[in-house]
Amino acid sequence: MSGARFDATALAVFTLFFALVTVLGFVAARWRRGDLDNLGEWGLGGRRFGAFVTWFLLGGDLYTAYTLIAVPALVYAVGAYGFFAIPYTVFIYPLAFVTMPRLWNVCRKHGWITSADFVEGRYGSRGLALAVAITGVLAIMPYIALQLVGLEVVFEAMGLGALGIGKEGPLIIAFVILALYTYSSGLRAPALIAFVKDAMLYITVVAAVVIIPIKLGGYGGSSTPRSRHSTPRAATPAYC
Amino acid sequence: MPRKALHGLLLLLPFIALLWVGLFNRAQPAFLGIPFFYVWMCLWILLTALLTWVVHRGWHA
Repeated sequence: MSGARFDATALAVFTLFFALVTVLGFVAARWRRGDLDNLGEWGLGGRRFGAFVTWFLLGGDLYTAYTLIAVPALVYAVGAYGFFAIPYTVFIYPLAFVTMPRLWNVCRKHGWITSADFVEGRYGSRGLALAVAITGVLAIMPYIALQLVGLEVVFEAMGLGALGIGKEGPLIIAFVILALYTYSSGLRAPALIAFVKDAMLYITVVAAVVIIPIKLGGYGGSSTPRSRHSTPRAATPAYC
Repeated sequence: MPRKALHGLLLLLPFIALLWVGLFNRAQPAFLGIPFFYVWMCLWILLTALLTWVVHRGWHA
């Protein structure tokens, strides 16, 4: 994936949103003010976000580079199999609807913050809690890696490689800034940023559904994707 | 069966509708040129949200 030309418009839009999100990330520390030395305030926003903010936070955190880059790429490569992502996402919500309110209430009552806290309190085993905590950390690693690869693809598409600062330079800068405001604001940072992310997601959806088909000549030929870069392995949808 | 559990059964519908692939593994009837396979799955995004809302109303009425 190289040879992408330097794209000033894309870079300007990206820089603008990145600056906005960075400012919001740090400002978030003072949003719905609480004592951030308290782990529940830092990590759970004091459990006071409510349905409205949580809706945005979920939207901003569930629909990521995985949704916008990895799944479309999979569909492009193998056809209809990539559509596993729809049932997979749909099933999460009824399951969460049935189990999560109870979990939330129990955890608030006992002051538990992480799933490991819950497991330790519920089953009285520090070993099991440790196993859950370590599993959680390990399980999130490939996901973070996926986001980083997604970010790298975005930088590539903007032609940042042409600037001669290497592949990792912009990635490291972006990640350090993200880590800094998360450290200072806790869950308030992603929650506040989620409003921007969700707005951008809606713009992306409208662009994908309305503008891209207009530019590519409608939905009729969309089963044979056109690309200058590669030939898809399955040009026609492979029904399961 | 208590009302709450009856309501909850509605939440099983998306699982049946989407895991039973043979039910919708066809190109026709197409909608706006989009094969039924895709239309059915996308339809269940909306239907599941609707069902969850119905169950929520039922549980907290």
